[in-house]
Amino acid sequence: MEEFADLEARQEALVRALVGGAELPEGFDGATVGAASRALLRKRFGEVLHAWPALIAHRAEFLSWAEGRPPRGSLLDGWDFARAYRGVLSRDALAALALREALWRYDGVAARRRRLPAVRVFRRGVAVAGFGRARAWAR
Amino acid sequence: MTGPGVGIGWRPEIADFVDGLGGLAFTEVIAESLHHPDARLLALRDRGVPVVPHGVRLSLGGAEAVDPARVTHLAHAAELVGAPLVSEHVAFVRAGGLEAGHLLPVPRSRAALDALVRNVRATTAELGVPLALEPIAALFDWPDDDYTEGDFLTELLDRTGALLLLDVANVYANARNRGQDPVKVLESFPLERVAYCHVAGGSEREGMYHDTHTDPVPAEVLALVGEAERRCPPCGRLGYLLERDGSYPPPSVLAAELDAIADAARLPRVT
Amino acid sequence: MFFEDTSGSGATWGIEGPAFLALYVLLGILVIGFVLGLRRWLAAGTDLPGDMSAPELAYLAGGERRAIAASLAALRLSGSVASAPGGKVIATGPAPVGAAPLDHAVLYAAGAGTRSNQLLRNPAVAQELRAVRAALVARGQLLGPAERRITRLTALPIILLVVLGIARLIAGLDAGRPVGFLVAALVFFGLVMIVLLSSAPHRTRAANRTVTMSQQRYQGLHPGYSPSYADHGPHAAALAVAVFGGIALMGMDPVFAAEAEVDRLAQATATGSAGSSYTDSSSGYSDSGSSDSSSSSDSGSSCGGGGGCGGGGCGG
Repeated sequence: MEEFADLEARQEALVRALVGGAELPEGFDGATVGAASRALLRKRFGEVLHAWPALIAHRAEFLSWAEGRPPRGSLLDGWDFARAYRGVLSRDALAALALREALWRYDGVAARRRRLPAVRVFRRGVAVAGFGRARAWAR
Repeated sequence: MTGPGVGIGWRPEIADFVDGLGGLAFTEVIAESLHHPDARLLALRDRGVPVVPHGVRLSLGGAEAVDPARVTHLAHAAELVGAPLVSEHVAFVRAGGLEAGHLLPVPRSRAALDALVRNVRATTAELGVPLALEPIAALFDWPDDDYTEGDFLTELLDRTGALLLLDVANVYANARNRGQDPVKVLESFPLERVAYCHVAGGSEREGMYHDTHTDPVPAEVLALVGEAERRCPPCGRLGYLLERDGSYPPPSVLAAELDAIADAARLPRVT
Repeated sequence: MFFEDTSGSGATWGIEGPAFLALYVLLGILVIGFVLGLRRWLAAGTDLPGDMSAPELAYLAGGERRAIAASLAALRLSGSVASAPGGKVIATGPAPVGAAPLDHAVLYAAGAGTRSNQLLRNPAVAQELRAVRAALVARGQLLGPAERRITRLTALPIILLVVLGIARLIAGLDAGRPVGFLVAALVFFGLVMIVLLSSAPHRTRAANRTVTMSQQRYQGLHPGYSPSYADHGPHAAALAVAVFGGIALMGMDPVFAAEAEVDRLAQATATGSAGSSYTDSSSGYSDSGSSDSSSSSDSGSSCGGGGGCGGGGCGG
């Protein structure tokens, strides 16, 4: 769309500033765009909780992790975050991550259901999946 | 369409509450959630409750052309629920392959208007029902707006034949954050084209009013509902729809909020 | 002579070894089946016990620690307690209207600052917990000491079975018969006897159903349903923690839950151990590869699952 090239570039620059941590294009009010950007992060965490309810204890960590990272959808956002913060996750969150990774193969780009049964060991627990069902036990 | 009534946005979390509203005039469902329609929503449809699919990810205000697959889905959604109309936003949600995850304001410029008109026409061409467009609540504006919001909307609706989904809470939020008189803003909108209205709660944060949909509806918004009702055409509208998207209170509180909206608009209560 | 003994009237008690063994094993299976059936009947409990209080539900779903966590949730929401560094809770105001006796005891125990995991050592709290336990016994959800003793005593017929086997074993040994299979059967029956004599369930079978039904009844209070706990009030907050555990508490006040370490209390399971089991909650995602189906504002909302102890899966 040649006639909208300028509009497209401006919209992209704004989105990059809002969710990608890029510099704010000239002319915008930094305070109000900043408020919008933070509101967006909060909304994003609420959506991540739909896919990953066990991450509920990690609101602050998520908000700082997500800042400057463009959203990839609630499932992958939660997944990427949980992997990055594996070392500090609560037991519930670790169990949820292990359950999902026992059922799905996620290479950082897309997730696919595993065909074969799988076992995932995590700190203080283990998750087992097979035939589309999964269960985890934790101490 | 007969005279206006009161409705509430259907969400899975409050499906039972919505189902229990005997006088429910209409409801709305997030169009993108109709990829996997909920049986309880279809039961409402079968009860004869008008259901409006409400799109949130079409990005009509984007510089890039609307995704035909999304338009097709919106049309399917309308057929699935037997919708009298569908609605979307005057906003964009992605650019350059990046998803913003939220509705963002478009610059009120000639180019943005042309892009919107192109996208709205591409959408209405596929739809079997009318399309209503909702101006959003924006925490910030573009630096170089050529139009006022009212003029921008009027021209957009004139050129596309689309209807207006008037979000009373958005009008309030924008006017308050821009330091304008909400009633004057309301009067600048093409109210003769209103298909239905949104009402929602919000709260103040960092000195700005946020249209959160998770807080109670403030008295100022209810007052604006009364002002809107006085200025809208008496019939040909669905009415007022409460949007609640989280932090759900007990049924009694939701019911009281619906009653307050009905009272503010001087319409029959639905609870 | 040897040959005449095995083929004729010389069989122990006048019945051949293989025939006795078959009859004995059959009898054993019948007796054990009878005893297990009796135990099952004794542990049936009361279905549909009527409205349960939050402390009762919490105790039933997660033991005394969960009951204290549920009380703290109600007290937190009414502003009666706050968290303090070091996993402590501290009383900051009066208990809410309609608070349960356990809530009052917990508030009193919190006082000027008490570690949350020490609250159950407080005599008043311990006494209220015993009262909750007694109420659960009376309502047919838990088995009391007397009922558990009777349950163990139902194994008496197995003692007779084992005595019979030992008598036959002695007689067989005296006669120099092969006794290998009989010994194997005896060892098995003996083990079953020991296990059944020494153990009895704490929970009735109805208890698991009560917890499951409460989870369904109060599902709107699961954080996945995004309830406003402030609007629902302290009692609902206690119910949410009672049936859903720590995840509900983190949904209403993550800072309090973490600082006072109440999330650990709330996570306790009915067996009293710190263990927990989880089931998959991700089955709703059929197409997670595309950013769309999994993404944002679609409001598809996959609720439930994730944490806590689903549907009686945590033994007890």
